[in-house]
Amino acid sequence: MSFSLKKSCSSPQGSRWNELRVAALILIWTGSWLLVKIGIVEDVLVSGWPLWAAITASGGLGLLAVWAYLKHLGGLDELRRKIEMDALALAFGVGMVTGLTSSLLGDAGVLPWDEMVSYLFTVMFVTYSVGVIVGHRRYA
Amino acid sequence: MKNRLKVLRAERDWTQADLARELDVSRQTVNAIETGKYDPSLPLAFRLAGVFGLAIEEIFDPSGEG
Repeated sequence: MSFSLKKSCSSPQGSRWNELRVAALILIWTGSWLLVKIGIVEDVLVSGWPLWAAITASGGLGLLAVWAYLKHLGGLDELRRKIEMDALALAFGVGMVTGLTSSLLGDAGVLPWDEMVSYLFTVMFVTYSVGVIVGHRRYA
Repeated sequence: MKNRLKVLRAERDWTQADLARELDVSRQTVNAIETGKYDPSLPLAFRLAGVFGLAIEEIFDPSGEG
Protein backbone atom coordinates (compact mmCIF):
# COMPACT_ATOMS: atom_id res chain seq x y z
CA MET A 1 0.00 0.00 0.00
CA SER A 2 1.27 3.45 -0.87
CA PHE A 3 0.34 5.63 2.06
CA SER A 4 2.57 6.21 5.06
CA LEU A 5 1.98 4.83 8.51
CA LYS A 6 1.33 7.29 11.31
CA LYS A 7 1.77 7.12 15.03
CA SER A 8 -0.01 9.46 17.39
CA CYS A 9 -1.69 9.75 20.76
CA SER A 10 -4.62 7.66 19.55
CA SER A 11 -2.41 4.74 18.54
CA PRO A 12 -3.34 1.47 20.25
CA GLN A 13 -0.07 1.49 22.22
CA GLY A 14 -0.60 5.07 23.46
CA SER A 15 -4.21 4.36 24.30
CA ARG A 16 -3.25 1.20 26.21
CA TRP A 17 -0.62 3.11 28.18
CA ASN A 18 -3.18 5.83 29.06
CA GLU A 19 -5.69 3.16 30.15
CA LEU A 20 -3.12 1.53 32.41
CA ARG A 21 -2.14 4.89 33.91
CA VAL A 22 -5.79 5.75 34.64
CA ALA A 23 -6.46 2.31 36.14
CA ALA A 24 -3.33 2.52 38.32
CA LEU A 25 -4.14 6.02 39.57
CA ILE A 26 -7.77 5.10 40.34
CA LEU A 27 -6.54 2.04 42.25
CA ILE A 28 -4.02 4.15 44.21
CA TRP A 29 -6.62 6.83 44.90
CA THR A 30 -9.32 4.40 46.12
CA GLY A 31 -6.66 2.64 48.21
CA SER A 32 -5.64 5.92 49.82
CA TRP A 33 -9.31 6.82 50.40
CA LEU A 34 -9.87 3.46 52.08
CA LEU A 35 -6.80 3.91 54.29
CA VAL A 36 -7.93 7.37 55.39
CA LYS A 37 -11.45 6.08 56.00
CA ILE A 38 -10.14 3.21 58.13
CA GLY A 39 -7.81 5.65 59.92
CA ILE A 40 -10.75 7.88 60.82
CA VAL A 41 -13.10 5.04 61.79
CA GLU A 42 -10.42 3.31 63.90
CA ASP A 43 -9.48 6.62 65.60
CA VAL A 44 -5.93 6.53 64.24
CA LEU A 45 -6.48 9.83 62.43
CA VAL A 46 -8.32 11.83 65.06
CA SER A 47 -7.62 15.50 64.38
CA GLY A 48 -4.87 18.00 63.67
CA TRP A 49 -2.45 18.12 60.74
CA PRO A 50 -2.12 14.31 60.17
CA LEU A 51 -5.86 14.09 59.50
CA TRP A 52 -5.86 17.05 57.13
CA ALA A 53 -2.66 15.91 55.44
CA ALA A 54 -4.16 12.46 54.82
CA ILE A 55 -7.43 13.89 53.46
CA THR A 56 -5.55 16.39 51.26
CA ALA A 57 -3.21 13.70 49.94
CA SER A 58 -6.12 11.40 49.10
CA GLY A 59 -8.00 14.26 47.42
CA GLY A 60 -4.86 15.19 45.48
CA LEU A 61 -4.50 11.63 44.23
CA GLY A 62 -8.15 11.74 43.17
CA LEU A 63 -7.55 14.92 41.17
CA LEU A 64 -4.49 13.29 39.60
CA ALA A 65 -6.70 10.37 38.52
CA VAL A 66 -9.20 12.85 37.00
CA TRP A 67 -6.35 14.55 35.10
CA ALA A 68 -5.11 11.17 33.81
CA TYR A 69 -8.63 10.25 32.70
CA LEU A 70 -9.01 13.53 30.81
CA LYS A 71 -5.66 12.87 29.09
CA HIS A 72 -6.88 9.37 28.25
CA LEU A 73 -10.14 10.79 26.86
CA GLY A 74 -8.23 13.29 24.71
CA GLY A 75 -6.11 10.48 23.24
CA LEU A 76 -9.06 8.37 22.11
CA ASP A 77 -10.49 8.41 18.61
CA GLU A 78 -13.94 9.91 18.12
CA LEU A 79 -15.98 6.68 18.37
CA ARG A 80 -14.27 5.50 21.56
CA ARG A 81 -14.63 9.02 23.00
CA LYS A 82 -18.36 8.91 22.19
CA ILE A 83 -18.67 5.54 23.95
CA GLU A 84 -16.89 6.97 27.01
CA MET A 85 -18.99 10.15 27.02
CA ASP A 86 -22.25 8.18 26.68
CA ALA A 87 -21.20 5.94 29.58
CA LEU A 88 -20.24 8.98 31.70
CA ALA A 89 -23.57 10.67 30.95
CA LEU A 90 -25.41 7.50 31.96
CA ALA A 91 -23.37 7.15 35.16
CA PHE A 92 -23.90 10.83 36.02
CA GLY A 93 -27.65 10.58 35.44
CA VAL A 94 -28.04 7.37 37.43
CA GLY A 95 -25.80 8.84 40.15
CA MET A 96 -27.90 11.98 40.39
CA VAL A 97 -31.18 10.07 40.55
CA THR A 98 -29.78 7.54 43.03
CA GLY A 99 -28.23 10.27 45.18
CA LEU A 100 -31.31 12.47 45.34
CA THR A 101 -33.65 9.51 45.88
CA SER A 102 -31.35 8.27 48.63
CA SER A 103 -31.42 11.68 50.29
CA LEU A 104 -35.23 11.52 50.35
CA LEU A 105 -35.09 8.05 51.87
CA GLY A 106 -32.52 9.35 54.35
CA ASP A 107 -34.74 12.32 55.28
CA ALA A 108 -37.66 9.93 55.72
CA GLY A 109 -35.55 7.82 58.04
CA VAL A 110 -35.94 4.74 55.86
CA LEU A 111 -32.24 4.37 55.04
CA PRO A 112 -29.08 5.70 56.75
CA TRP A 113 -27.82 8.50 54.47
CA ASP A 114 -24.17 8.32 55.63
CA GLU A 115 -23.81 4.71 54.46
CA MET A 116 -25.56 5.37 51.16
CA VAL A 117 -23.02 8.02 50.14
CA SER A 118 -20.35 5.32 50.01
CA TYR A 119 -22.58 3.12 47.83
CA LEU A 120 -23.20 5.99 45.41
CA PHE A 121 -19.63 5.73 44.13
CA THR A 122 -20.11 2.00 43.50
CA VAL A 123 -23.43 2.58 41.71
CA MET A 124 -21.82 5.20 39.43
CA PHE A 125 -18.76 3.04 38.73
CA VAL A 126 -20.86 -0.03 37.89
CA THR A 127 -23.20 2.05 35.68
CA TYR A 128 -20.20 3.57 33.88
CA SER A 129 -18.65 0.12 33.33
CA VAL A 130 -21.93 -1.30 31.99
CA GLY A 131 -22.26 1.76 29.72
CA VAL A 132 -18.78 1.23 28.26
CA ILE A 133 -19.41 -2.50 27.66
CA VAL A 134 -22.80 -1.85 26.03
CA GLY A 135 -21.27 0.93 23.89
CA HIS A 136 -18.48 -1.30 22.63
CA ARG A 137 -20.95 -4.08 21.83
CA ARG A 138 -23.24 -1.63 20.01
CA TYR A 139 -20.46 -0.49 17.67
CA ALA A 140 -18.66 -3.85 17.37
CA MET B 1 -25.84 6.74 6.46
CA LYS B 2 -24.89 4.49 3.56
CA ASN B 3 -21.30 4.54 2.34
CA ARG B 4 -18.97 2.87 -0.16
CA LEU B 5 -16.13 2.42 2.28
CA LYS B 6 -15.97 -1.36 2.06
CA VAL B 7 -15.95 -1.34 -1.75
CA LEU B 8 -13.34 1.42 -1.95
CA ARG B 9 -11.16 -0.35 0.58
CA ALA B 10 -11.47 -3.66 -1.27
CA GLU B 11 -10.57 -1.98 -4.59
CA ARG B 12 -7.28 -0.87 -3.02
CA ASP B 13 -6.73 -4.18 -1.24
CA TRP B 14 -6.56 -2.44 2.13
CA THR B 15 -7.55 -4.08 5.39
CA GLN B 16 -9.61 -2.25 8.01
CA ALA B 17 -6.46 -2.06 10.12
CA ASP B 18 -4.54 -0.39 7.25
CA LEU B 19 -7.24 2.23 6.83
CA ALA B 20 -7.55 2.74 10.58
CA ARG B 21 -3.81 3.35 10.86
CA GLU B 22 -3.87 5.90 8.05
CA LEU B 23 -6.89 7.70 9.55
CA ASP B 24 -5.38 7.55 13.05
CA VAL B 25 -8.48 5.85 14.47
CA SER B 26 -9.19 2.38 15.86
CA ARG B 27 -10.16 -0.56 13.63
CA GLN B 28 -13.44 -0.62 15.56
CA THR B 29 -14.20 2.89 14.27
CA VAL B 30 -13.53 1.93 10.64
CA ASN B 31 -15.73 -1.15 11.04
CA ALA B 32 -18.55 0.86 12.68
CA ILE B 33 -18.48 3.41 9.84
CA GLU B 34 -18.37 0.68 7.18
CA THR B 35 -21.37 -1.12 8.65
CA GLY B 36 -23.30 2.14 9.03
CA LYS B 37 -23.48 1.90 12.81
CA TYR B 38 -21.58 5.14 13.26
CA ASP B 39 -21.51 8.32 11.17
CA PRO B 40 -18.09 10.00 11.27
CA SER B 41 -17.53 13.62 12.19
CA LEU B 42 -16.96 16.11 9.40
CA PRO B 43 -13.15 16.24 9.99
CA LEU B 44 -12.94 12.43 9.84
CA ALA B 45 -15.13 12.35 6.73
CA PHE B 46 -12.73 14.81 5.08
CA ARG B 47 -9.75 12.66 6.12
CA LEU B 48 -11.49 9.63 4.60
CA ALA B 49 -12.13 11.54 1.40
CA GLY B 50 -8.48 12.60 1.34
CA VAL B 51 -7.21 9.05 1.80
CA PHE B 52 -9.32 7.79 -1.11
CA GLY B 53 -8.79 10.91 -3.23
CA LEU B 54 -12.53 11.39 -3.60
CA ALA B 55 -15.16 13.95 -2.59
CA ILE B 56 -17.16 13.20 0.57
CA GLU B 57 -20.38 12.75 -1.40
CA GLU B 58 -18.67 10.12 -3.54
CA ILE B 59 -18.16 8.03 -0.39
CA PHE B 60 -21.26 8.80 1.68
CA ASP B 61 -24.88 8.79 0.62
CA PRO B 62 -26.96 10.91 3.01
CA SER B 63 -30.23 9.57 1.57
CA GLY B 64 -29.69 6.01 2.76
CA GLU B 65 -29.74 4.41 6.19
CA GLY B 66 -27.06 1.93 7.27
